[in-house]
Amino acid sequence: MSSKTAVKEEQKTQNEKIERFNKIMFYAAPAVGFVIAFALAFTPVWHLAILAGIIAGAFYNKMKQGVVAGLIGVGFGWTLYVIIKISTSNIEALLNQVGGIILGSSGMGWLFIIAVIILGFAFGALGGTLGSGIRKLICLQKETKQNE
Amino acid sequence: MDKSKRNTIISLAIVGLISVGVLVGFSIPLGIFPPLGELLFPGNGLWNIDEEVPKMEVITSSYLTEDVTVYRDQWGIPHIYGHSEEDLGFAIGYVHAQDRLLQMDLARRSTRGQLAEILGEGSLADDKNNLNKLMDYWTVESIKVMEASSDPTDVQLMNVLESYCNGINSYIDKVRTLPLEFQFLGYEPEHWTPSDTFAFIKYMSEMLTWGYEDFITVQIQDAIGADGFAELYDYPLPYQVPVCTDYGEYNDSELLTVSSKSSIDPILVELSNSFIESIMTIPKEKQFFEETEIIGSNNWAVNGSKTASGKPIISNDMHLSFNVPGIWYEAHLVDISPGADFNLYGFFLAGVPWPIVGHNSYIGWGMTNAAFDVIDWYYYDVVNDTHYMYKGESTPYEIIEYDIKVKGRAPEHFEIKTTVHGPVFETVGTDYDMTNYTNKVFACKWIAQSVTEESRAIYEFSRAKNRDEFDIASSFFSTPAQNIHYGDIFGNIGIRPTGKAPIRNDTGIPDWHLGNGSMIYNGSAGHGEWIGFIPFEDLPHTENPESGYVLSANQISAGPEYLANYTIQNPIDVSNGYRARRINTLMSTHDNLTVEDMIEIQMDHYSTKAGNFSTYLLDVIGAMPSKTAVQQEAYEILQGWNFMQDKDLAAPSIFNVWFDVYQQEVYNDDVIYLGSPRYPSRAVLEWLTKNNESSKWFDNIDTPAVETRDDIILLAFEKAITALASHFESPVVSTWLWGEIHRAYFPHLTGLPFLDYGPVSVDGTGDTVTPFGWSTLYFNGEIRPARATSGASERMILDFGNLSNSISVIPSGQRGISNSIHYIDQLLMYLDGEYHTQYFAADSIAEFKESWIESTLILKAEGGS
Repeated sequence: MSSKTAVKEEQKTQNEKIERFNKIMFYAAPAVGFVIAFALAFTPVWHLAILAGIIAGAFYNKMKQGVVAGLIGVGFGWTLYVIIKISTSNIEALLNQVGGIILGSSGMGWLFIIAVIILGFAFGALGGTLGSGIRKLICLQKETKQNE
Repeated sequence: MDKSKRNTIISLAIVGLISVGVLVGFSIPLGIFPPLGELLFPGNGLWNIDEEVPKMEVITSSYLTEDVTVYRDQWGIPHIYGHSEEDLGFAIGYVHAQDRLLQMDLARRSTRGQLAEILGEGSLADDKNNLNKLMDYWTVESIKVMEASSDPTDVQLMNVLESYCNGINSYIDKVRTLPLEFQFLGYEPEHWTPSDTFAFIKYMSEMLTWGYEDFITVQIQDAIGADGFAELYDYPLPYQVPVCTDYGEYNDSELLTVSSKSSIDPILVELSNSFIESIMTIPKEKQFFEETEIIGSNNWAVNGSKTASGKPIISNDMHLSFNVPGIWYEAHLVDISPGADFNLYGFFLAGVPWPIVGHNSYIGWGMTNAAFDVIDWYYYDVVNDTHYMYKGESTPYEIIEYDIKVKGRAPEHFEIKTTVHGPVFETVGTDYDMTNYTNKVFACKWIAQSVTEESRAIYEFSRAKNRDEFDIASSFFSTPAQNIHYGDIFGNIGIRPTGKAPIRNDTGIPDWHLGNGSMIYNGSAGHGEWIGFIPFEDLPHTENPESGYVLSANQISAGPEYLANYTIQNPIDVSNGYRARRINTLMSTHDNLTVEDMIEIQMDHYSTKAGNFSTYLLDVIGAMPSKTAVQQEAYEILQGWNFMQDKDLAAPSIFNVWFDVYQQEVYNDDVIYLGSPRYPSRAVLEWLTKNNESSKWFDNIDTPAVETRDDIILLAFEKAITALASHFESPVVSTWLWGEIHRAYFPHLTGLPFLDYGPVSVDGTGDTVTPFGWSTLYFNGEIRPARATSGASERMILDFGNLSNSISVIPSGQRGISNSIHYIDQLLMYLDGEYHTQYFAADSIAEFKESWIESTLILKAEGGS
């Protein structure tokens, strides 16, 4: 085998590794976002949900992928939190009461549950967009510097 | 900059802006609502509220001398085991705060004029009104006296109270997320102080003794004259079974129909009407003004001669406004230190470390409102802004100043003028129009406006071991005056209307004045001065009567021999006596009573009123020459009725609506429309119905004919049947069920409707032993279903043959957290006539069985083992 072929072969292996890594990252990013969002859901600073989205999104330099990663990560993180709380407590009754107070109609607690989950997805999407956008911007900045 | 970079920056900027907008949007309050992010998002607000107490929790505190164990049973009721009064005080404070923090905070704020601080400008008038009553002022003065006292009992009491405050504050400091209501109101509770506990006792006094009866009496007498007042409202009151039976019996053969009194000075009538109009603009005061008959209670005690066990059984149900959470909090406290002999179960106010009613291993006690007249109103000639006339001299007002905190703006300075008697009411009410009377002001003298020692009384009740010790404790009980009944393991029973009852100097009062504090006095002339109080030993009481029982249900305190010496109740405040008559009948005709019998009596909804009126109603219907089919069916249903106010029967609907119309037809024309704000007692109407069928009150003065009793009975029947048929939209009388127009409602104490419970159909009426309070069903031809918002606020039955048989229930639950399983668990039992055990036999940690434990709280003494 010539040295040229060996280099090509090595390059190919390297590319495959990167591809595999990217593939893993593609799936890992939402998982990372999910874990962080779920953990942060136990803190009183709800604003950090967007941070979880940013971290998940930062795995990508394509903003569309970032949106999806953040959306899935934070959305499902909050969904799991809500499911756990509903199954281990009587929060539904409380949400029904709050629904009555805010919306003026009883039995509207489910609306808040759905709203919270949807907002979790939305915060994730916003964070993911920001994360991936920032990464993309950094990459573009690097490329510009290299080209110069 | 290349296109890709530019697009990325633009996208980032847009998304960043949206993100910031969202973050800010969910972080700011929206009108009355708190920031939605803090309320609704994971990790925040609702999601963190401790709906239940932890199954197992250990808290360490430097305030404790030794460890305290708190077991909660399946109703969330704490059973507290500690080694000293102070440690037990700390623990009861901690659990009170765990379960009822909002209720405690609102009660102290209401009494102390601090609502505007959390609710804003809208509550400023309430705060001024509450401060004007001087409840806060005299709370502070009472605490000062107690703190300065070197009496060992007072010192110990204050030690326990300090520990109690430490318990509450330890919870306030530790709580992770405050209950829902705090989040909506957007504030955090301040530390609890001993003054707050004393304020709570003033709050109870206000609830049970504040009023405007002096003005009402003026209005009634002005409306129907002195003779009318004497016949319909004044003593002697018919069919009264006195609380204390040792002072003779009343002769019900006649009502007093002649009075020697002259007409009231019309200027004074106008003056008092103006004042009342002003007062009525404040919702809370309007409630005080209107009839509050249900603010009463039942209690009775039977001794061994009437029980199966040969030992006393006592029962108590105190009637107050319904709320969730309810006013009472049950708890069991045991001192487990060696040699200690302290095992206590009682009904506490959350905010007070000692039970108001309850029992220990030796004695038990309960209360009903005694309705002593302990508030007098005075009018004065004004000299100028700073002086008024008193006994011929220009006298300066004393000034009490407050700076009332108001949410969202600077504090409001508020000055209260006081006369020699009490605070002047001149800036209350939104439409205060005294422009014709700028030379007059009103002030009141009220028993709660003094240093009082109820805390000492209830502290000592808990520790009393016999009647003598209990009497000593009772002598400290000033207000609100209560009929306190008693039983013990030694076989004794007794009852004593207890509280400070003022004696007035009525020398020189005008001829029209009824005296005894029943009408407004000329304060400038020095009329109606309080010159002392009835000595404790002179208060009426009954001990171990031959009948074998004592009872009270807000009826007259004592018989005629006592009234010859002292008048302690305003006649318009004395209950009509139907509950007392029924209890008296049941007590006198039953022997070998057991706890189960007592349950039946507490749940009894036989109507003595219906039993006494129905004969006359049926006679009149029976004599009708012809009846419609609906009238005939109603007649037959009434004929077969056993007078039980059962929610599943139609007869109570017919009778109660008929009675409403009957009362209105008898009195509206010549009593109510002439200006009397209250109907005479229903017992008076019973007397007139039975004894004077041609009484002038039966005649409708607006018609040319002269009506008699039977004319009005018939007219009322016809109107009632027409209104019921219309309301139920059915001519089938058997479908007119009482439960359809008689429902109980349990509002949340903030007034937020979605935290309420009800309405729910219930048996009974305001006049049955099991009571539900409402005013009127019939309004101008229409039925407005009753919404009963008051009734028994607790039920307790104590068996001194075996105190472990003692049972109780409250119409809410232990926890004020609206999604807790203990929010309304006992309310559901209450509505089904169920009770729970008190686990009183568990007088040590080991005795409290594992299977009874729902949760455990260990309060560890810091540095302890």
